[in-house]
Amino acid sequence: MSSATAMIRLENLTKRFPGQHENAVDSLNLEISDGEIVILVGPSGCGKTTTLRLINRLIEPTSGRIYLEGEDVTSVNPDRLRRRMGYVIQAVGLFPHLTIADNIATVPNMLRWNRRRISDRVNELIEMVGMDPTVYAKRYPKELSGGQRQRIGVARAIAADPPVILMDEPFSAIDPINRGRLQNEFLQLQTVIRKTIVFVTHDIDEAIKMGDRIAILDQGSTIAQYDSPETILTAPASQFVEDFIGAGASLKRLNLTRVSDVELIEWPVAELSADRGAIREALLRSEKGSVLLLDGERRPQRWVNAIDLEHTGTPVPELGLAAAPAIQAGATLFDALNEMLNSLQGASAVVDSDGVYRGVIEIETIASAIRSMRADARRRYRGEEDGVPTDESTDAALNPMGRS
Amino acid sequence: MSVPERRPQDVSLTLATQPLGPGRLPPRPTSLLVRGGLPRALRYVGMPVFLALVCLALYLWVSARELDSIEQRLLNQDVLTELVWDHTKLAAVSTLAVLAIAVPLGVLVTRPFARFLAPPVLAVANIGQAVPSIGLIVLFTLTIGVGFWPAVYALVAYSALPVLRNTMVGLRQVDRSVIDAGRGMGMSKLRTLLRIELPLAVPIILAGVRTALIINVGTAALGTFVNAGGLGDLIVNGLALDRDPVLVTGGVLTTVLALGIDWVAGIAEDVLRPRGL
Repeated sequence: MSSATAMIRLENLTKRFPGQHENAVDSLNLEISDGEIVILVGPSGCGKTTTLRLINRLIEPTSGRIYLEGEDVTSVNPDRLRRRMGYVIQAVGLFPHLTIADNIATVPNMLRWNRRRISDRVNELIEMVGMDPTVYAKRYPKELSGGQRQRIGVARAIAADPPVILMDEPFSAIDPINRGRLQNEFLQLQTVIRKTIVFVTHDIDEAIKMGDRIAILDQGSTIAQYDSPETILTAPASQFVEDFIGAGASLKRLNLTRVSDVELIEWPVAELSADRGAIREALLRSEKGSVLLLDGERRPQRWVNAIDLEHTGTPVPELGLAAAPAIQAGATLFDALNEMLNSLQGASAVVDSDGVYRGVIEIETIASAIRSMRADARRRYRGEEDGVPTDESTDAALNPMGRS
Repeated sequence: MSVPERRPQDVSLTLATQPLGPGRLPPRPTSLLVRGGLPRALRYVGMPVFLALVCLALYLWVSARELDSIEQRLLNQDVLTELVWDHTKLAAVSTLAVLAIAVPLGVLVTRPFARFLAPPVLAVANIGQAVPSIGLIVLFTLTIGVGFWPAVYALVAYSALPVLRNTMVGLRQVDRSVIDAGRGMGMSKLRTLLRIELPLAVPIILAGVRTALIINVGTAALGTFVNAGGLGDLIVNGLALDRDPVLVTGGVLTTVLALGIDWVAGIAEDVLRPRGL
């Protein structure tokens, strides 16, 4: 039994709304470890929001149990239970008639913290979400932008330092640029606060970005797959998951691997200062159709093939095609592919952070990387089907941050 | 000249339904001193000045006339003070009673467990307002006799609807997500009602109360028919005895009182409106 690290455990959790024939949530079993971000994602109407609201009992379950930190909370006072869980919703729901400071102080006030402690905490939190307490504490929600409101919504949710935060599509109503920024800020914040987070979204890209683990839900909140983003992308457990990830799955997968993780190809190279004979010789020694010319500091400069070498009128440094921009070893395969498509070449030079040549990556390299990732993940997934993983839970156990 | 009765139906309809419009309430600047700027300051100061001028004009007009004994008996300081005081008392007591009855009732019928009560309660309140006010007063007099209280009962029955309806509308228009957030953070239902729902409904409830107050000040003039006193005495006597100064004084004072109370209510509305809305 892994309940030692399970922050939240749902056991045969079922909800049927009055007058409906189907269960909105049908016998759901789910375990969420301490300190991880679990994403509930699925098509609309699959019951993901209902599931979230069952956890803090804004919706009372028809049957089944809810455990929080090993304690059965299915029938404790729901108001008290909710003070142990932060709650962030898409509409934010800041109280318009209260100042930012009073909004954030909502739960601490209910817990009867003293005034001094509350005001210290409020200032700390406003700063934590990247805003200035001296400017914003006394303002009203309508004086804030959408992104700022959502930041305050997050600050309010973690005000009393609850171990768990429930988030219902928190960033969906924000424009794409600010959404990305808020997501990054939140991930950054999470490295500090280390909360257990249950996060509902309908956006698979957001799920992949934010989640330590993703639960893909089908109708009735049935778990179609519950695993790391990598595994879900590379080894979808069913046709449903594959369809849900969508046509871009292979591309999304490329974001999970870095160029430095794949084996680079040995390419024939020559000095930029070499004469045509030496270059032709290098070309003939190799099966590749071209030679990569490097400058004195071994930075890739030109791609040169046999036909280019016929242009005797052109000086060597201007032969063929420019090799820049080269790809950094730290870039993802997605970046590499993007670069190749942009430059209309089937290959691209790879350099380290100083710009020094490391090797060449080809489209074929990327294709075979996808194939092997898929095979690996499938093997891993099948091997783990019975036992719950993973090393994330032990990671989290080493970080008993932030409880008070 | 007719009895200067307000047209309460019209007033309550516009005031009570205005907040339902798509734009909701206009945004309010936060500081009491600066908000509204010059026009608001003019409104605050302008109305009392205007009313004082009207009273002065009335005084000069009446003083310039030769009053006969009947007119002298009615138009003197003691009588007028008593009538204004009676009138104010009728309006104030009935409005307080409306507040005490209609706001809790409005809260009750918007709670999920009592939602089924809303249609019948609204139907009763609608009947109260649909029956002509003079008819209501007579009905109450027939059952409980004449005097101050029957008039108050009639006024309450007549003016409960705007407060009840605005309380219901005010509570229902509170953004669901705000309530959801409060409940989701562990606020109890009572706490959510007192800290979130009612404060956010205050502007709309106050608009209803103001409407009820205006209805009551106007309709209190009918109190004279059931011996409840008030400025209606002057109007009725003026008509019955064919004394223009008495009639005009009654009409003008009723109007000045109504506008004055509305002015006070308007200021109260601005002060009591939660900041940040």
